[in-house]
Amino acid sequence: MIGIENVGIYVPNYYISNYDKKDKFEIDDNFIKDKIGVEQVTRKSINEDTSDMCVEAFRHLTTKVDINIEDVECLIVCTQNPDNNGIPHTSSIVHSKLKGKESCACFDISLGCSGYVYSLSIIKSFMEANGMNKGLLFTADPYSKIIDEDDKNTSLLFGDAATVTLLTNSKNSWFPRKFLFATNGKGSGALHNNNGVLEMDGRAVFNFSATVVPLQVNNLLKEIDMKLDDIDLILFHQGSKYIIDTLIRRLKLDKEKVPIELNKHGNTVSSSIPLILEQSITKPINRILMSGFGLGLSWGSCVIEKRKKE
Amino acid sequence: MSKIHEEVIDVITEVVGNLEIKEENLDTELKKLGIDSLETFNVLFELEEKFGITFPEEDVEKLNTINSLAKYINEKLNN
Repeated sequence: MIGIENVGIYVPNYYISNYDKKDKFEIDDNFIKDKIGVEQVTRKSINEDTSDMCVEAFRHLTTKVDINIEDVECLIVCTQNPDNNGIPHTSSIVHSKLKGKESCACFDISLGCSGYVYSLSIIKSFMEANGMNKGLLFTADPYSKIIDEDDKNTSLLFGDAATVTLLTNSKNSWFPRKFLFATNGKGSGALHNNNGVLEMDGRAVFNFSATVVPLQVNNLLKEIDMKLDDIDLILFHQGSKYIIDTLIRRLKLDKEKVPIELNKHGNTVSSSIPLILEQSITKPINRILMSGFGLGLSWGSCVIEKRKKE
Repeated sequence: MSKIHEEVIDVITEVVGNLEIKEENLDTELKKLGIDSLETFNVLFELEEKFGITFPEEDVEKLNTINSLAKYINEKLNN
């Protein structure tokens, strides 16, 4: 059975402080720290592309785990801001930069904030169906490519980052137990690319998130006969501090179980969950619930468990 | 103050937290009461759920006081 063995991350060094935008957007320190919860947003360099960010995440992974690229049989990139408008697919470019072997399967997945949960299910199923032992799942969605820095709705929130998750047939891993997925295509206009510029209807995205996520989390737990008390950690997509606080309140969650970590980089789209997962999988805990939601409108949740395979 | 006014105030207090609303504040703009844009989204959302109504986007801008919200909800419920 395929599970998560380790995670590598890359957060660019360059950032824009939201405190420098207080006058421009008529906001105060309280709004920055306690409401959106983003003090600064990271930005990739001009010369850096999506594939370069993936390579940096892989470099970080190699500092944590002994991995030979020759052993990688599957390489997937989840992005909607690929190199060269997606032609060729960014996973192929990453494969070239990492000098992957020819018999390695590569493809991209086009999803936003729900992307990590969906992609995790896809790569696990793909690897198991094809008898593969080692695969890499990258997330890299540099929204700075499509952000209007004068748009209060988006420029204060979105930051750039990349992650890579190593999936293996190892005996000691985090194994996905159950996934749930959903889509509301009619609501897709709430967050979309308008001629190269990201536009967001904040109220519609808030209403969507506050409504569907608690329902899906409860349904997921019901399907696997578990309660919130059985979960050690809940990793929500880091859309904004306010939406996570709202989910905590509506689901009556223990705040200690729900990390909010977007203040130093912002909402990094499909990278937001694995950025926290990277620190979480080494903790003395056994069960993590992950829930991604946003653009699409799309949402997906899953539970992963740490266990020793028999 | 009507029952709907009281329910609107209850929702605002639950969403925003430490906020004292007096009868003379019923026509004060929510922004001037210290309720920011994110909290306004949340107040509207909770009221929609509570009363089973929707606030269309084109009407939201004018629903900026407790009185205007209570009046709007009352009309929706009676139509």
